[in-house]
This record gives sequence, C-alpha cells and structure tokens, in this order.
Amino acid sequence: MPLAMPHQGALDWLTQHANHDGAWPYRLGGPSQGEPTLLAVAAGAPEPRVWLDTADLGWAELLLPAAVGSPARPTTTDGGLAVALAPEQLASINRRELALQRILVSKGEAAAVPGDFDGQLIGWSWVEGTFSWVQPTAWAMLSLRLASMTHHPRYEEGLALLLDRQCEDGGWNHGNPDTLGQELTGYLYLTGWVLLVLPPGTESAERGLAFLEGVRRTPSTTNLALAVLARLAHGLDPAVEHELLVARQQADGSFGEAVERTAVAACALRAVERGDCPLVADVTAEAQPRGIEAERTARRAAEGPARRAAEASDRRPPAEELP
Amino acid sequence: MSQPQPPQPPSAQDEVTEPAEDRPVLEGLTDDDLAKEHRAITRRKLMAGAAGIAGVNVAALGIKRLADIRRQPEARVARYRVPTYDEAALVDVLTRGIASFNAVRAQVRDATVLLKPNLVEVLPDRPVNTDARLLGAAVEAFRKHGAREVIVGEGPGHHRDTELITELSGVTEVLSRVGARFVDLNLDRTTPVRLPSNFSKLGTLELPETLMRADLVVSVAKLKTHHWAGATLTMKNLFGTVPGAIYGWPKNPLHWAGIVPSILDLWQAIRPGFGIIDGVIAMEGDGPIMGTPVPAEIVFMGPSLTALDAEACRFMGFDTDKVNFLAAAARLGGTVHPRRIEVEGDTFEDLDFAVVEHMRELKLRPGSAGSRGTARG
Repeated sequence: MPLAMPHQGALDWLTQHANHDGAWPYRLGGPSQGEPTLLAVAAGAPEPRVWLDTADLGWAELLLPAAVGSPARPTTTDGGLAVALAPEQLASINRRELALQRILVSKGEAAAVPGDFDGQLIGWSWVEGTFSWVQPTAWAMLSLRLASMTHHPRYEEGLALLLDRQCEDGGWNHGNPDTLGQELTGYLYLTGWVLLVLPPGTESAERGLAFLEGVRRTPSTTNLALAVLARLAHGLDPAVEHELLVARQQADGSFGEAVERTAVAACALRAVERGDCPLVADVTAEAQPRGIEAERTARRAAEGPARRAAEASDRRPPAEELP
Repeated sequence: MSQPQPPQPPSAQDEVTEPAEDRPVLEGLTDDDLAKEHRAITRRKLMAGAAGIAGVNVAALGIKRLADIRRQPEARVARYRVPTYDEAALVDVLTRGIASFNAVRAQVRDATVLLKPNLVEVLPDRPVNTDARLLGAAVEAFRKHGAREVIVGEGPGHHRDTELITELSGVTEVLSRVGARFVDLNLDRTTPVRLPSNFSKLGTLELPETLMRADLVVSVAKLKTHHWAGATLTMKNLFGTVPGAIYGWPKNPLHWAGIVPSILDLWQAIRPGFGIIDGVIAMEGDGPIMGTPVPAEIVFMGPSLTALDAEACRFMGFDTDKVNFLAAAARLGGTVHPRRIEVEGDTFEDLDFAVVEHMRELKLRPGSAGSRGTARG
C-alpha cells in the first residue's frame, strides 16, 4: 500500500540511515560516497557540508553543482539568500565553484571507434585518461546547465556527443549507438539522464521520450525515477511512471537497501510533490542542437550499415567495453 | 591534433614476463610424447613457410615450446551433457561435478563461497547471461557439499541498473527461492589489492570486500564468443568483479590498460578456486551480446580456469595458441595444452562456432562460416 507522503517517507529513511559524518553510503554500513550523498541532497536531505567540502568525491563531483544548488537557488528546505550566505553554506558554495572549474578542465579521451559515431567528440569520462561516456557527460552538462553555462564550448561539444551517441531505438546506451555494424539498444535510466540535459522539442528529445516509455513495460526503481524526472523536464505528465514508482516503495519509506536507489527515487518524488528538485533544470536557455542533428542524420544516411561494418572490421578494439 | 591511439589488446608476447616465483616442475609427458610433439611443431613451423629461418632455430623453438608445455600443471576438466535448464538435473550434474574434485570438495566445507555469474543485460532471445536456473542450481550444489554460505556477487559492466538485470534475467526470483544473498559488486565496500603480476600497469585495484573475503570464488561464466577477446569464459568473467562505483560503467580503465593484461592481472589477483561454464545454450557470432544462440548442451567444470577456458575454446573450434589471453596465461604457468588436461565426463565432438570476421584467425578452420547452432555429436 502506497505511503501517504512518499517523498517524506523516503526522505525520513535517508535521514535515519545517514552515516555519522552525515553523508550516505551505497550500501548500509559502507563508507560515505559522493554519488548517493549528492542524490540524497538533491532529494532534499540535509547537506553534510563539512563532508562535502572535504571528501574526495571522485567522478561524483561532476554532479555536485547540480545537486547542491547555487547561492541564488538554494536547494535545502530552509533555503533563501540568508541561508546561502551563512558561513557554513559559503564553504560548500566554494566547493561547488571548484567543481565547476574541474568540470571544465576534465575531458574524456578521443579514440578511434568501431562504429558509426564520432570518437573525436569530447565529453566526460568516469576516470581521467579514458573515453567519454554518456552518464558522466550528462552529469557534467547538468551541472553546467544549472550554472547557466549552456553556451560554453564544452557544453556544446557535450551536447554534440550525446546526440551523436543516440541509438536507433531513440535511447542511449552507456557509450555507443552501435559497434561492428550492430545497432545497440538504449538503456532506460541512461536515456533519462540524457533527457535531463536535452533541449525539449527537438527530434532527439522526442525519440528519447518515446523510448523512455519503455519503463512502463520494464520498470525498475531507477528507470522509473529517471523517467519521472525526464518527463517533468520536458513538460510531460509523469503520472503513470510516478504511480509505478510509488508502488515500489516499501513500508519503511525506502526502495530497498540500495541507498542510491532510494535517493534517486526521492528526487523524483520531490519533483512531483514539491516541484523543486534541482535535477529538473530550467530549459529555456539552451545550445541549439538542430544543426548537429541534421549533420548526423545526413552522415548516417550516406553510410550504409554494410560499409560501417566493413570499416569497423579493420579497426582495433575501442574504448568501449563488452564483458 | 595528434591522432589518439586507441587501446590495443596486446599480443601474447606483449608485456608478459615470467613470474618471479619458481613454477613447479611438471611431469606427465613421456619421452615418446615429447618426441612426437617436437616433430609436429618442427613440421608445422617448416610448413608455415618460415623461409630463411635456420633449422636449428626452429628446433630451438620447438624445444622451448615443449619445455613450456611441461611446465603447465596437470589439470582436470569435467564436462557434462545438459540438454535443458531443468533445475533438478542441473543440481545433480553440478553436485556430481564438484564431488569429482576432492580438493575443491574439501575446500567448500564450512566455507563462504562466492559465485560470480556473468550478468550483462537482458535481450530477448539472446543468451547473454549465465542462466539464472544454473546459478540457483550451483547455490544448491555447493550447499550440498557443506558450504556455510553461498553468495552470488556480480558487478555488471555495462548496465548500472543491476536491479533491472537481476529481475529480468530471473536471478532475483531464483535467489529468493533458494534463499541466497546477492551482492552488487559494483557498489560493494572495497579494499585495495596489489596486482602481483601488474601487466596492466594499474599497480593496485580496488576490489570488492565480499569477493576478497570469500573462502572460495567460483567464476560461473557463459560459453560465448567475444568480438575483441575471442571468447569470454571464466577468466574474462572476472572483469565483472571490478567495482563500477570506482572505475565507471564500463570498467574502462581495464580496456585502456589492455584487455589481455587486465584479464591476467585479475586472474592472478583473485585466484578463483573453481569455474563453471554454462554452455547449455551458448552464443556464437558477434558475442558477447549481439551473437546468436547455440544449443551446445554442455556444462564445463573444474578448478583450473585456464584449463576450463582452453577446453571451452577448443570445443568452440578455436586454436588456443591464437587466443591471446590463453597463450599469455600458458606462459605464466596456466594449464592450456591438451596434453596437460584430463577431460572427463560425457563425450562430445567439438563444434565450430561462428565468429566475427576479424576473429576468423582464431579458428582451427578459418574458412568455415561456423555451425550456426548445429551441434554435432
């Protein structure tokens, strides 16, 4: 039976299960980690400011500016300019600015690729010195977007990369739309992350949103939560996905013991119930992708699958992985 | 801008050095065997048109190869015919298989056993994952042999939504039914592990505590071709132990460091004590994801991962000398050569799996298009 206040229930569970340092682990009892902590903060849980200012967040730092908000738009419930200017808040604001700087200097590596996508486009990687992948690129762009940096060249190139990596089915795989001439299938949750930074109304966004409706057939907590957020970002009603998500909530408010899963679900619930989840960004000022879409469509039309496969067979293994 | 270099899978000769420790002196080949092997190798080298190579060098190569083969420990591989994923039959086969390895059976008693399946993603009609029913049967089999706890742990390399993969693949339902715990190795607490071989030059890897604390790690792989590595079996399956929470999805630092060096490093660092290969429905062609099903009806088992993978490769119709990670493992003392492997269980004829074009050189019959699912024998 659904909880009366799903968001509050999830938030209470997160608050009760924070580590002593105020941050969150991936799994209960584990060490505090950047990703679950930032998702919990974005969901409205109290910011562990000292921890955020001192911990090595690794690649989760790409999400930090998006999750902790900005001085002009604090994300904590007791927000407002006064709180934003409080000394303890200034510290995390400073960390946020440092994170933005890091986002701008960190780059994925270019590589020859065995498929119909452009390995020379640079986005963001999970680990320095490796290839650009969809999720870290979407995170970094989300952070830049919330800092009103959508006209920065890195943002524009990131957008070009995401559009270039869109699969034929309209979704996004973790990196490649195809390999060795074989089309790959999109992943629902990744498509959700990409849609959080994709300008609405574009052909790519429409195809992505259509693909994302697949969460209704293959629901999981994560893909439902991302679908709710993505639909809200594009002005669509998330009622169906929201209902499916709430149905998965347990009586204790959690979505299982996986903390980051409960945290991302809480973000979606916050977005529906309160309309102020920081991950759902203002989308009015955007880099325009139409030219990029047209260029990619033309390139794909000019290169048949057989030619792509023939070219791929001559290439060495890519940065892409297959287990 | 200079042209970036894509990650290159090293050849068997690249960056592989002999381990520091002495390897056991191995017996088992008779002088007659060795003489035959020597003549065969010499003949092959000559017939390969190695013009200009002095005969004495060819002979030296042959002798070195024979010495390498003799250094490989003797190993046993059990393989059984399993026509379907009938769970009772699988429990029976796996229980018998484990029982046939005395040292493993003793090791299992009162032990924490970690089963590491290959869970990648769920695609209808493509046998991408270790089948959930075989996994459940393995849990039961190790319990029958007295395991204190059997845990299933996996860190999918592509797909972050582990909940979705385990639900759609049937793993959640099966593990719930048999009462076994699943650990997402992508998100587990980690511990730094120095890589004893360090062919990847990564030095140290953060690896999941659940994995490193287990008394026995069992690689429960799928019989599949792999369009970069040739085959993905019990050794390549170890990529899924590397936590995505640290190294990302996919575990890209491993690929930039080289697939073969990374396979070898993980094998040496984790040292799984047993392997199972699910070939009831295998995959040929553009594996490990986009290939086609082969009803191979076989399950391999054994404590030597190199021997298991080598036998599985031969079963698929591959020349193990040309499968880079096996050739390199052989130089590290892994058992690969058929003369060092005793195969027991049911009798099979080897198949001829289709591969992607650039992997044809791995095949014993490179001109063949492959079986396309027609099992013989």
